[in-house]
Amino acid sequence: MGGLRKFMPVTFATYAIGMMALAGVPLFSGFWSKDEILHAAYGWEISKVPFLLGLFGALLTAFYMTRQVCYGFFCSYRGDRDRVPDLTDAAAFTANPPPTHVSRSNRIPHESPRVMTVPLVILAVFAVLLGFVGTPARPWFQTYLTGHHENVAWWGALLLMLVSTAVVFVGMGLAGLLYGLFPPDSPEERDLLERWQPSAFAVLRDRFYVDEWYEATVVRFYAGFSRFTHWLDAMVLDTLVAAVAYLVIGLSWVNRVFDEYVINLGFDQGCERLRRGGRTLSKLQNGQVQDYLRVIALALTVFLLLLTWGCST
Amino acid sequence: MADFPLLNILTLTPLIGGLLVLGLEVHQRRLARSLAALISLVSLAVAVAVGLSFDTRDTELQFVRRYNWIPTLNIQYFVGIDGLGLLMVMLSALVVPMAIFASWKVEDKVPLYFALVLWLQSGLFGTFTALNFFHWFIFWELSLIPAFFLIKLWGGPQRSAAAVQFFVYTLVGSIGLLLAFLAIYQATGTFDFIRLSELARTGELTSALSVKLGWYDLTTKQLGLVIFVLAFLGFAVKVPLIPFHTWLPLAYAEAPTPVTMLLTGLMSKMGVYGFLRILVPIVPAQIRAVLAPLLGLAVITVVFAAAAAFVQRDLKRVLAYSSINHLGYCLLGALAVAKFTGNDTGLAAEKAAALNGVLLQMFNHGLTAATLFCFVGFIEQRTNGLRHVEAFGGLRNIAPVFCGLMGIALFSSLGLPGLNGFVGEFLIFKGVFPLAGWAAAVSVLGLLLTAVFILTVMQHVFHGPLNEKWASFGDVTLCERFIVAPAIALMFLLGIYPQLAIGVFNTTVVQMVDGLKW
Repeated sequence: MGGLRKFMPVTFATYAIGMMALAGVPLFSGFWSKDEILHAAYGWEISKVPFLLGLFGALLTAFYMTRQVCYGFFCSYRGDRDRVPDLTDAAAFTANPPPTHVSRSNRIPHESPRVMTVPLVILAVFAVLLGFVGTPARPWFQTYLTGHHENVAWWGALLLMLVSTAVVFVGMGLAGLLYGLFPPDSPEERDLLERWQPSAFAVLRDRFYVDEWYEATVVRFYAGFSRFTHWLDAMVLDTLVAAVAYLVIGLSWVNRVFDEYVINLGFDQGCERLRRGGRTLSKLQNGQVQDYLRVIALALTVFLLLLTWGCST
Repeated sequence: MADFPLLNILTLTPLIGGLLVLGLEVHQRRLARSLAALISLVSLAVAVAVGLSFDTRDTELQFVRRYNWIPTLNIQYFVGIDGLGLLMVMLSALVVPMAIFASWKVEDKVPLYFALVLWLQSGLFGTFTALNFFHWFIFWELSLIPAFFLIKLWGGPQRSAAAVQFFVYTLVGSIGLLLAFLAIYQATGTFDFIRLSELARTGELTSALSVKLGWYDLTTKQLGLVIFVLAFLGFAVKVPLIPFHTWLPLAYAEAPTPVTMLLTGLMSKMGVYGFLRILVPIVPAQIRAVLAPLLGLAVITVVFAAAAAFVQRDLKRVLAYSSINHLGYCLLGALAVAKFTGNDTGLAAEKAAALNGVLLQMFNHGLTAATLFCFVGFIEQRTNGLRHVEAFGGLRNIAPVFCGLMGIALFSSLGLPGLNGFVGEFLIFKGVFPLAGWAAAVSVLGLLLTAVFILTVMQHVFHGPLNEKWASFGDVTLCERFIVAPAIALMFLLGIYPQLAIGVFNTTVVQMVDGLKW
């Protein structure tokens, strides 16, 4: 980039308008809204700190926007200078820019086609005019918002407008001076302020390390919490369920042991005794006639003895 | 039209259809698929017919049929439909055809597969229309059996363990439910939900329990709590509520993806339906007695599930934990609504909002989760079963339409305003905040955590550098677009105009809130 205002004048013009509106240059749209806010901050009874911070913010905005415009549109082109045509006659270049396909293939900076520039122009018009919706002279928007007619104190407002304008011009002037007098020559060259105060610049570049702080605290906590819930699921609850399953399997085993070795065994022993008893009894009927005669003889003797002794008493 | 036994036809169509499909030969795959698809579309038509003839302003049950089944035991076949039932019937009728079309590539034992899916649908229809515990429980268990076989026969590498754990865990819960209802039957002599909720409203139920069941000299309150815990167990396992959820990630991961669509879209809703139809009307006093711990469990379900989803590496497990998280919101709303607020009309309006949110969230989540699993199924088909979150990358470059459509479903799951997921969650929080502020406040964390893990999944799978291994990942085909198009359209429609759904059940919701006044 650099020196682009010669290559793309319309983009430069609209960008400059947008930049001035953002910085709060008087009569652009950003000026009115910024001023309203500063006016309200100034009127806060509790402290003037927000107001001062707002002013400081306005100064910084003007500074960095001007720095950017200098970097991008002024100074000299820092890209590949061999490809870029000589711009001693800037007017001729603007009048007769090389055709788009040539610019694109050679990577020469060129103006955007009308599909981009027309919207840019429309937006730039708004950037200038939209602010007039709510100025102190005719607070139409404020009246619409609050519902009753707003009265703006003219003198206080005017003083504040002058102060903020001064701040904006100081910021723009400072940046214009610094980067106008010491323009960067190549893209690799470090910023002027970085060379002056590298450590402070580093803090700013790393956005006050907020992202790293967030990563180290909130994100790590959340990752740890997720792992904890997963551990809870896998180790604790699944173990409980598995424990119940093993309990049931254990109970089944106990049941089976009881069946096999207590009930079956007891039953088997009872049957065994029955069989032995039966075997003994079966000896009475062994088919030997001599044994039967012996038993009959024994029984007869006992019977006779019982009869004789029984009758005598 | 109201005299026509539409609800019986609704339940019987998939049942008989399943029998027809089962009778086909194993090699008649195309016929089996087409017949099953046709039957599911016929069920959809019947459900739509029911929906069209449904009067949304009527406070009475509609399409009621009562048949004396076992007069000596006072058991009737009692079906009827109100807004809640209709919503669930419509959801079932919508998700099952999606699952059937997503199962088109199944090659193994095709007639049995589709017969089981159809019987699952029949079980669902039966559960959502039954109003007598006897046949409600039969259908409740009936839907478990096809799911068991579907997981066990066509699932992933750990399917046996997953199927057995799913079946036994849910069955244990159901046994608690059965015991509780047997006790209630002993006390009151009826299985009828409507009659039981009337008895509960007047307080007769608890007193009848202590009069007829003299268990170990428990006080009335303790007895009521015991019955409540038993019944609660049945539904807590089904929803699921942490810590009764451990069966879910394994079952969802190992089931074939179309079956997971059914599990997450429909069967988890059965649990919430049970809360709303049975627990909250019949044992509200006991819920109120232990409301704080129950709300705590719901909050834990919301937050822990969302956190656990962040560390999962399998896409299906991420979505499984996401399901638990979304159902946690439903339970949060359902439990907060049970809180006693007397005649306060302001709080009654908040309760109605919360309950509307719960019902809407049930429908929306069923739709969204089914669509998401459908997309995961498409991924699996292209990568031969690989679903590891970090195995992909940069798919947006080669399959932009696929990533766009799946992105819509993911954002709906996240709760992006403009899509359907937002409205249900918003209504739940709106209603729960005045009723149980702390619970709502902590659960809002769940919204943040959901966003974190869903965006992480999108970042890993869609964005980033293209993983060269999947350079041949095809974009979504025309058939696949047809499968998900109705769901995606509904996501936008219900996100912008949720009144379409709320208008169906608002009357029922107001009536339910009214019934909780005592």
